[in-house]
Amino acid sequence: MRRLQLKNTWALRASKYLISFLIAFLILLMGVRFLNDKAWFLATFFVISAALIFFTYSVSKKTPGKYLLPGVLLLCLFHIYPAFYSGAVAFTNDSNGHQLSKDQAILAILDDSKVPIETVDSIRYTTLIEKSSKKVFILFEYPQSTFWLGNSDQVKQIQGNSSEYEMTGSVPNIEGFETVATSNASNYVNELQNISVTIDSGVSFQPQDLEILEASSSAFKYDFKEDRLTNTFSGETYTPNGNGQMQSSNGDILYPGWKANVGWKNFTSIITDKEIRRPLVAVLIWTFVNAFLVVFVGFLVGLILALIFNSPHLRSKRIYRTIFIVPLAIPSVLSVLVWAGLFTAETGVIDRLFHISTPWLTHPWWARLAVLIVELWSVFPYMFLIATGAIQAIPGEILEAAEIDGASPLKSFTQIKLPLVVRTLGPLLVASIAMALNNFGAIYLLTGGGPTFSNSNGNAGATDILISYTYKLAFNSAGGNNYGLASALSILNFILVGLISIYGLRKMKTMEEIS
Amino acid sequence: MNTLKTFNKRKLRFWMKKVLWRHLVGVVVIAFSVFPLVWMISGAFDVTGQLSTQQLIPMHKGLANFEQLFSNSEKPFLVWARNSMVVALSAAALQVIIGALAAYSLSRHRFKGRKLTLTTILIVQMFPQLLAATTLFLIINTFGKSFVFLGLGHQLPLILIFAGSALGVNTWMLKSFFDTLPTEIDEAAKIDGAGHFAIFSKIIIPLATPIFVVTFLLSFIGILNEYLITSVILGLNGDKMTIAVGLQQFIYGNYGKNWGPFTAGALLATIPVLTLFIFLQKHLVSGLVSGSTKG
Amino acid sequence: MKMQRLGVFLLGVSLVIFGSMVPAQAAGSITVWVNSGEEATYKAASAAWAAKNGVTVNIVAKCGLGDCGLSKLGPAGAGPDLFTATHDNTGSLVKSGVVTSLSSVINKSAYPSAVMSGVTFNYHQWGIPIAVSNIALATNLALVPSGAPKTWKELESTASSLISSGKANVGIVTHLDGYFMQPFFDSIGGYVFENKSGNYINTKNVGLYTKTLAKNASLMDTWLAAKLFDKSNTYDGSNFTNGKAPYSIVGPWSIAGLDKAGVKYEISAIPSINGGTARSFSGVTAVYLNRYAKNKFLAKQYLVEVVQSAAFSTAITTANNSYPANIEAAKSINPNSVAGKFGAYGAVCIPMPNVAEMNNVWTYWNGAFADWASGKAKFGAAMEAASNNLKTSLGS
Repeated sequence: MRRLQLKNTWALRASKYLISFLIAFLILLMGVRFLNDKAWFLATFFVISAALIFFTYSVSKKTPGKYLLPGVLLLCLFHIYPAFYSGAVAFTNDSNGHQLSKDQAILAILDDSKVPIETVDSIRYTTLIEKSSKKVFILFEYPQSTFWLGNSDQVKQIQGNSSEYEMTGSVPNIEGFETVATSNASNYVNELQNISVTIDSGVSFQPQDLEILEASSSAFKYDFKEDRLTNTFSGETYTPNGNGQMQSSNGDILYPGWKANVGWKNFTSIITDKEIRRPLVAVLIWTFVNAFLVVFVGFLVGLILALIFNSPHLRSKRIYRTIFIVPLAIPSVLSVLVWAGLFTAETGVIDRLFHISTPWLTHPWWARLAVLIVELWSVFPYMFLIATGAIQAIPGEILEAAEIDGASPLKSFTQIKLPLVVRTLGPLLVASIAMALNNFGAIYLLTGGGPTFSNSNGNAGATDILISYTYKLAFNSAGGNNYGLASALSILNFILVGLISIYGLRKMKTMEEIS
Repeated sequence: MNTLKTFNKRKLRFWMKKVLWRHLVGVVVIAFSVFPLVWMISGAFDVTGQLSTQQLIPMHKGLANFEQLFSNSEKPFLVWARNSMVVALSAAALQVIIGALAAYSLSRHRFKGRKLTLTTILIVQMFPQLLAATTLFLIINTFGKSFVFLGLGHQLPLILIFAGSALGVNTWMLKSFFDTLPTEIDEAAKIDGAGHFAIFSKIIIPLATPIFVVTFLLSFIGILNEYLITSVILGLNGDKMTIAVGLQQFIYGNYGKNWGPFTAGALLATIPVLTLFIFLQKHLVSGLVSGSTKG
Repeated sequence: MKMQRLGVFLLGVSLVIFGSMVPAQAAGSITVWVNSGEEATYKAASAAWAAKNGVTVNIVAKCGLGDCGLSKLGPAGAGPDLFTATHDNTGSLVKSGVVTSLSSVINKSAYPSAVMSGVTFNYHQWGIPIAVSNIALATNLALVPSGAPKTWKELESTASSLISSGKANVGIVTHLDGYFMQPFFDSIGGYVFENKSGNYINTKNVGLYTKTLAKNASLMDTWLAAKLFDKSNTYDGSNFTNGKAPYSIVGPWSIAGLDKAGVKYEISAIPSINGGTARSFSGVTAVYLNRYAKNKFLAKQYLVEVVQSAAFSTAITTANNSYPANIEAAKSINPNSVAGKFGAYGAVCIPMPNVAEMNNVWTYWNGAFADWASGKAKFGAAMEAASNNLKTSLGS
């Protein structure tokens, strides 16, 4: 019997070893493919993961790793890495007009400033491949009898015969290069469409299609060593300013700019820039007020309902409980949108039902009330359930003892039930506050954060909480798609929620220890 | 005869004092709870499809909204429903499995990084993933350059992203539950010669089925709900959308809010979830209730 | 206000939208992003050319309105080759480096000068125009059998008599935001940026609160109170279609809904309060070339051979009820048709400014309208505040 068991364990272990090896190997292959495609971070991540998987399941004796590894790996890739990446963005000026790299931006400026040169005949070109490097070059004649061979990085003048070129489309005997027939030129489309050859006189040539070049002269010249753009017509020079843009001495800025590291500027602008600070303060206040109101009122309502419907005299408890928690079952995406429709002023169901005319979503204070109502609707079922649980967990002896002592229902509530329930549910309430501070859906889908404050630049509104404000900063083009600032605010958001949660949990812990 | 009447009368008065008012409160709360649901139903069957003329019992009843929902080739509801189901079911299942494994280890095993892991899980939850949407997009974009099926517009990367959230609130809830299972069970099984995984699969899992169901249900609903990251990864292509993203299209125009098909679709999306909820409400309630006391 | 939310939502979503062409695009295929709902039209209009040249033209419904998140997607290689956008985005598109100049490709003589000015920025042309759209006045013929009003006085008196007799809930169904209110704004003497013959040259000259406007501002307050404008600002089209409002400001996009509702209407120019015609903004839909397009040669060929053709312009505009930008195509429009009426009015409209500063404008201008509608401020005060805030944010 024992020998059988031993054999089983050997075979079992071998197959486990094999499976984990196969999985690790597969992931390693994926990592290699990423390496090939120059996706550095993913390549590193996958290779390390492969190693970890193999190690954890085949080599290591420690069991916790085997249970935790898949979750941890996924968490790192899709939560932790994006969080750090977003954090890094906070130190850049990533926003509209600053999305390109510096090289791309300068290329774009040069490109956009090109003034086409009209030529009598179109300039034909031939594609050539340098045999040693396999790089793509173009050969053309401009002006008459002057031949050029070049690509974006280099250009040289070569000897050639005009009439021969016209007949054959090429200059014979160019050492080290082979000509590509026009029919095959389409294989090099990717390179050809990005080639730009600039000759000494400053004229640039770019392929317009597989046969014709466009000649243009760029209004700007870029000196790579001096990092300076010069306007060839006006002589004005432009150098990088601290904000990822080329700026001249009298303040003119060239577009597009690039993504540049701006250090702590996004963070300091929260305090120094009035346009950011003023709406932000209002948004922050409402974020906290909203979260605390929702949780406390919701908890109170849930608790009172739990007490009412915990009575032994009530027989249809199950039915009430089932219907109460209906809000939890409706996808909040849809229910909030339905609420938004119901709250429409004058023509909406609520106004018509109660024969009132309230600008629910267009007036700041009514909008805030509407948001609170909808949030209360979403949260009270949950509060009701956990309160019910907490009340049921109160040992019956305590309540009986209180009744015998002659305590009134009110006293029994305030001095016994409430404190016990709060202590039990403490951590959950803290978690609820943390979630309420970030309750994006209820705000954004109902009011869009509006009605908008007229003194912000359209991003902050009366019902905006920090997360919806940040979202609009990042994704609202009117605000300039300011990812940099949005990321800085996300870090602020994270710190605030973190601090509150830690503080709340600590307080709960000390309360428990005291009792 | 008289005593019977007075007895009944007293019973009635007793009932009214203790019970009737509770029923009244209950009715008010029920009205509040089902308010949007009622109007969703009413709107779904109202063929005029206009919010401003909505009556509780629609004047012009009909199934036109549903017809519109199913026959729209650019807004294919059934395709959305299928997409939603595939993504939500697989992702929820993954979340439960990964979460359960991790929670079990965090509950039973004492190891060096345990406290750190628990704190990290808590902290990571506080960074709202929606703001990392851009990064997630860029990551999946890079995936797609090397492996087409992992790229944007496919469901697999989305499922994996959701699975990445497994180590979160779910894990905490599962861990609390596992903490309530006495370790003696594990000891007894170990003595019988069971390995650590055998203990987990043969003993813990059957005991934890109710909480697994609860976790799965909550995850499932949460993922069905999710529309921001879903739309980022799957895109606005008609037949790649999920229900949450697709239905928004009906009412997000300024020039012609199509309230009718929206409510019809919302109703159809709600019914299965609601039914599941009611069926499993016993487990759900006991899970949440017990979860609350174990903190 | 809702338009902004639409824009934000679309932008937020589409900002990180992907090109479903992310796996390496097959040589011989181009991707075009168009407005949602128009894929079929574009596909049909491109089919012949695609077949003849053996090119796959992937028409994808993504955005089609503005930047579409291309400033991030383009450099990341996840953008399309071509995309449609309204011309007011030209300035910001150029400033973010997303598009390439099409000056050497475009046939300037094929388009009217107003249309060309819309896609011109920094002396280059950046988009090939397809359609021109503008808002116009729709009159509910059941409520106003005499037809569209020729003067403002006529409009006002018809509306107020209908309102006071209880037949109508509101006079004009419209959004209370900058774009829709521009004709009224224009007729009381306001303007956004100084416009010299179609060119917005001086963005420091802001006209949100001019002397003329200040004098006429109280009229707007009176009309709001008299329910000529609907202060709930929800654009409830059912008022118009159900015969509870005599007039509505509509665009080509509204026509399908109006026809479906079966309402009898007439499209006409919007009369100016001070006589003449009020000038709305005209918008040019154009096709732009992504600087980081994968197949620039094919894309340019498509632009020259397909997009610039009159047939293409006709095909797209017939489907969405707008007016063709192409002069040749415009010749075949029946002046009595809906598109013809839009076009006739559009000829006197001014193109929306295409400078990047417009983003700031919408914010403050729309905010001012919202404050006025909700009763927070009187029209004059709201506009004055908006004007000052705008000037500050533009640094002037």
